[in-house]
Order: sequence, then structure tokens, then C-alpha cells
Amino acid sequence: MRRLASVWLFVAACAPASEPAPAPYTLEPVVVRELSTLEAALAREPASPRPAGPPLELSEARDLLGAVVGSEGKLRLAALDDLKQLGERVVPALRAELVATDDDPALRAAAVEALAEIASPSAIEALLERLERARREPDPEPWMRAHCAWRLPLAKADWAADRLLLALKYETDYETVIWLARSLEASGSLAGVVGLDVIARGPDAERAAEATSVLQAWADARQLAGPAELIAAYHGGEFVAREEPTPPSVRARLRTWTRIQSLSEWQLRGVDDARFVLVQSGPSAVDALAKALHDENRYVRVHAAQVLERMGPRARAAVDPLIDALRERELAPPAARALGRIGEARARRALAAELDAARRFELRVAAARALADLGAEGEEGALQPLLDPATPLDLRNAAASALLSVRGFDDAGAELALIAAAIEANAAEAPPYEATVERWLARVGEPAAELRTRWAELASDPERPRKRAELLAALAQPRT
Amino acid sequence: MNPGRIVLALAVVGLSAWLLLAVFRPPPPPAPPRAFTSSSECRDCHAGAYAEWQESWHSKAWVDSDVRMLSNDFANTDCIDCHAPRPVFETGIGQRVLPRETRRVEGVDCIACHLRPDDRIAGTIDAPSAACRPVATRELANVDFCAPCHNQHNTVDQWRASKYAQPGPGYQDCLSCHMPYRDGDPSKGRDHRMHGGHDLELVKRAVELRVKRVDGKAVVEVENVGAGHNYPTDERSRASDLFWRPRGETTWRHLYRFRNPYRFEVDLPNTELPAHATLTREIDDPAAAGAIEVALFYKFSPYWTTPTAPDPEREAVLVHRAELEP
Repeated sequence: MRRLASVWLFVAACAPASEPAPAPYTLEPVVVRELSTLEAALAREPASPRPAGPPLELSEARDLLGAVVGSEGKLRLAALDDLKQLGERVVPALRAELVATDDDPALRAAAVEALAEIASPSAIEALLERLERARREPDPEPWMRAHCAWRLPLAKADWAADRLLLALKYETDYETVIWLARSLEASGSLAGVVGLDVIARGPDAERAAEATSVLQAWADARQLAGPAELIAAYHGGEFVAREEPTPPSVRARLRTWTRIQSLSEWQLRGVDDARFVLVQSGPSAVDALAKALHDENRYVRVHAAQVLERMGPRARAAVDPLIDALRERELAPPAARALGRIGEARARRALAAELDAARRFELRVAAARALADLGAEGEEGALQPLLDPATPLDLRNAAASALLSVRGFDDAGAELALIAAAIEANAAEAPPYEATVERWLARVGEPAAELRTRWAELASDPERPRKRAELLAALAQPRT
Repeated sequence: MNPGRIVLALAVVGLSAWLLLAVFRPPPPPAPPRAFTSSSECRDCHAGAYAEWQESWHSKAWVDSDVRMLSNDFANTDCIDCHAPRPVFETGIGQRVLPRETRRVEGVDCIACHLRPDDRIAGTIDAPSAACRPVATRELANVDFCAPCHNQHNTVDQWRASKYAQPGPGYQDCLSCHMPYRDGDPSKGRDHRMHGGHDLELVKRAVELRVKRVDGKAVVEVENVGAGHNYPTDERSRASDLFWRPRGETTWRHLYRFRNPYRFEVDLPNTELPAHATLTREIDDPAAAGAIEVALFYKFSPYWTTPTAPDPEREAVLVHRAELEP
């Protein structure tokens, strides 16, 4: 018996050591837990002081606002301070004044200023509601929205940035957009650069000049040459480390997690609003989204990965959680795309592993497209077999795009032929393939100079996809 | 022996043998698992249904030029989820769909509705030995199956509030109108052309247009008699306009618009006509005292080339037309 046990022990000792199986991908109520923790923390924060006395009537508030409007210098500041001292007692009347149109507009402007000075959550909420009015009903005074956007930074409430960001999505008044952008910049977010760029190139000469001036000032402050560099740097993730200098407040983190919770809403409009705000948010949102990849709600985790994808290089802190997310069936395809857009080279090996034939088709295509975005250096061996005509077309084209990222000018024939066919087959799907070709043209340099010129000349041609496809197909022919 | 009896005995033996074989014959082996990568793989065996689907607007959900324009080339990313969805069975019936990464050009395709998470195909019969290993799946006919996309704009909720949703002889669901049996024959299966607003006959059956004189005034009525949801519904780009003109005139005069406005059009009310509801409008114009024509038009885009002088005959589809004598 003892001999038998010795033999068994010997065999067990000689057996090759097997890798420990990875722990299963955990799914938990992450959002519910975070919201509950933050709500408890918010409840522990000291409440705004509530001055004794009944709320002021609108007429009483107007008298005080009249004192602000009718005086200058220290007298004006003193009148404003009177309103500030009244705090919560005067907020309801000032809120009513914001939408009154039966008296002097200067009083409404003063009400905005007073609410920003009071800066309690209810005062800031009143300003935000006024800012958002045009989304609920016709707004006869768009200038009041611009005024609210201008004054909100006075309140120094980082949690309001969430609503300012969403206002950017819907605002159509150029003056308000410019002030929203400025206010966001004051709170550490350059999300307004996109809107300013649109206005700078728009038909309103006065506002275009103003937007250009703001962009130039921001570029100067960051030692950049001009608006174009600033915008490129913003999209390239240059400002991750420099912006959002202070840790966000509990209320701001609560807003972030509330937006993440909205990713599970039924109505896609709410989901898209949440995506828009989160994409424009700072590093703390990246951390929160990385945690949300483990939420038990599929919509939360899938849309969280989409947000990280749209953040691009600004989400590089989420690379490791995204690589881990490749293990989760529903999450894996958007996680792969996010890794491609973020652009960290260390994701390459993990993405190439997902090209394996045993993986689901959706994931294989996503991984190949991600490698096209990221550059497929060192992974040609996994991609090359996918050019076989037996490979489903989506996957073959994605593999060709990925391989093009490592091909030179003279050895890209097979890939260019496939991409030309893909562009020709469906003009609506051409832009991602065109972007792939443009990256290749930029990388291969001098030999492609003439092709680059001809490619650029076709940019605004009404038959651009077809003509570009012909250009690529000709290049794909064997050259002597 | 009587030859007739011999024949009869042989027939009985043969029939018994055939019955035994039929009952105890082992079933054909199940088809090997297959991962579907494109709806074009369905075409070989289901050419008819595939051709119908290609004719449908489901197949154009990603490539149609109107969709691309209205979605800003899908820069409005909330449109992608329903215009190129992952399979409904993957996210679950009644659950919101998620967008897919691949073959978006196929729009709302065979795979979106029929592929199950086990890679078998949801259909009307169980046939594990067939190439796509279909599984009889009654949920395909459930209104909740359409809801993930079509209730984004509350169409399914509108149906639930209608009498068509009440159990009984008047019950009609999404498939009754939008996916009827071919030639009305259940044995021929359902029509995959997905009839909707682009089918003028269906639109005509949805509403009735009536015009009459009340106390000498011209009164127009539009009743939703056939749509199990608002008229129009689902897409905010859709509009239906009521026009009139004195007989003999060439220019139409606008009377009313049925439409759910875009969210940014905060000054416009939702004027869709709910199921079973009737809109009544008096034409308050002395010119209507004479003979008049009234017409109801349907539009796929809410905008007119010249908003101050809309030309419905050029820019919309005529649904109904009626005349009223003095």
C-alpha cells in the first residue's frame, strides 16, 4: 500500500505543472454599490446654512435686485452681498425672476449673478434649469442662457460641469456655446473646443472671430501654435494629466455614476446623452467607466466600453481593464474596438489572440479592426491567414486593413486590392477604409507622394469612393 | 389459395413493415453546428424569404440615403443600435438591442431576428438535421419581439392602449398587418417584406377621410380606422398633411399636420392621430362655401422645399381625396 502511495506521489510530482485557470470575469452590481456609497457620503456632508425667516416674495427680491442694478462699485457689491446673505430664503424668488419677462431684463441678469454668488445646490440648480430651458419650451430670451453659462463658474461647483457638457450637445445659440466652452475650460475641461471650432468655421463672422480668439488664447496658454494644434492635442489625449487638477467632489462623482447608470435606460436618447457627457469627462470618469466594465447590467458594461472607445487616447488608464474585458462574451467586441482607438501598443498581443478561429465572429472582426487602428506590428502571423478567400468578407477586409498598417509601399498589393473592393462595394462604408489608407500613405512617406496628392485631390469629388477605389486597385496591380 | 387474399395479405404485411420503419426509423443525425456570418448564407435555402427581405426597408436600414441624411451618416450614434442590431435573442425579447460590429450594411437582417445564442435558428419548425438547425420559436410572433426597436418611439405602447391589443375576436398584433401570411394562407408562411409606411395600400387602410357640411360650413374628419398605433408613428420624420382647395384651383391650402415633432422642435405639439381617434376640423374660410377638394398626403420627410407654399403633389404621396359640393 505504501509502495502504491509512493508511486502515485512520484507520478503526481512528475506531471507538468498546469497554469492556474483564470478567475471568472466577475459581474457585480457596481453602479448600485457606487451610487449608494456616494449618496451616503453626500448625506454626511454639512448642509447649506438656512437663514431664519420666511422665503422672500418676488416683489421683495426685485427691490433688492433693483438696488444691485441701480448702483455701482462698492454699493453694488453690498447690495449683491445682501442677496447672498439671504441665501436659501431668496432662491425661489430669484428662480421665478429668471423666467419672468414682464420687467427690466437687467433685473434678470442680476438674478443670475446673485444665484451664482449664493452658490448653494438649489441656486445652481436654478441656473442650470434656466440654461436648459430651450430643451423644454420656446425660450424668448436666449441671452439669458448665455448669461447663466457665463456666471456658473462663479459658483465653483464641479458637479455642474456634467450639465454644462450636456448643454453643449443641444445648444444652438452661438453666444451660449462660447460661454459654455469658457465655463467648462474654467473648470478644467476643454470639451468646448469642438463647438468653438464649428462656430469659428461658421457663417456668423462676429461669433466666428470670437470663437477663434478663445481657441487661440487657450492654445497660447498651453504653448501651442493655434486652434488646429489645440484641437488635435485635445483629441490626441494631450491634456489628461494637466486638466481636472483637484479630486472631484462627492456630488460630481455622484453625477458621473448617475450618467453611467443612464447607460442602462430603455430610451436610446438618454443613453446617448450619457455617452456624450461621459466621453467629454475627465480622468475620474475613465476610472469609473473602467469599474463599470464589471457591472452586472449588460447595457452598462457594453456602453461603458463604447464611451472609452470614443474617448480614445484620453482613456489610456482603462487599457488593462479593457484587456481583461475581452474575456466577457458580450463586452469583448466593444472592448476590442476601444483598445484599438486608445492606441496603447501593449494591447496588441491580447487583440491578436482574439483572431483565433475558435472565437466568435463578431469578436474576431472587432479585434482585426482594432489592430488596424493600433498598428499590427508583430502580429502579421495571426492576420495573414485571414486573407484567404474562404474567410468571411468582413473579417478578411478587417485583416487587410490591419496588415496594411505594417506594409510598405511595394508590398501592399493584396491588402490594397481588398480595401479597394470594399470601398467600391459600398460607398457608405468607405470612410473607415479611407482612414486606414490615409494612415498608410502618411507612414510610407516619399514613395507614395504622388498617390497622396491624387488621393487628396479626390476628397471633395462627388464620386470620391469609386475613384479612390480605382486608384487603389491600379496600385494593387503587380508593378515592374 | 385465393389470389385476391394473397394480394391482400401481402399488402397488409407491406403496410405493416412500412409503418414499423416509419415509427422506429432513427432520426437523421443533427446537422453540425454552424456560425453564421452573413444573411446571404440564408439565401440558398430560403430564396423567397430572402428576396422579400431584400425588398423590405429592414434590409435598407443602414444604407438608405434618407436614413443616412437624417442620422447625419450615423454620427447620431443612438440610431445605430436599431439600424444594425445584434440578434434580438442575444439581448432578450423585450430588452433593448445592442449595436453590432459587423456587416452593418445588411441592416435589420435575417440574423438579427432569427439567430439564437446557441447558434441555432429560430423558426416555425424543429428540424435539427437541417443546415441551420431551426427551432420552433413562438416568441418570434410576440409584439415584445418588435418592441426593442419599435417601442423606442412608443409604437408598441400605442398598440397596447388600442382595442386591437384586447384578447378576443378583434385582436390583431404587429404581424397581422406588417407581416401577413403570404396570400392569406398560413401554410405559405409570413411575408418578409415588412409592410409599413412605404406601402401606400397599408397607409390607405389606416385612415379614412370624410368631408361634410355642418350648418353650411365645410367640416373635415380624419379617423384612424386601421392602424393599431398612432398615425403616423415611429419615425419623427414622418408626417401626414391635410390640404384643401376650392374646386378648379391648382394651389393646395394647408389645413392640418399629423406628426410627432423632433425633440428640438419644442414649440410644436405631438399631433399624431391615436388608434380609433378622429380629428375634426372646420374650414374657416369663405372660399370653402363653394365646391371644394380635400386631400390627405403622407410624407417621409417633414420638410417642404418651400415651407410657405408647400406642393404636396410633388413632395408627398396622396393617401385619400374627397370632394364636397356647395
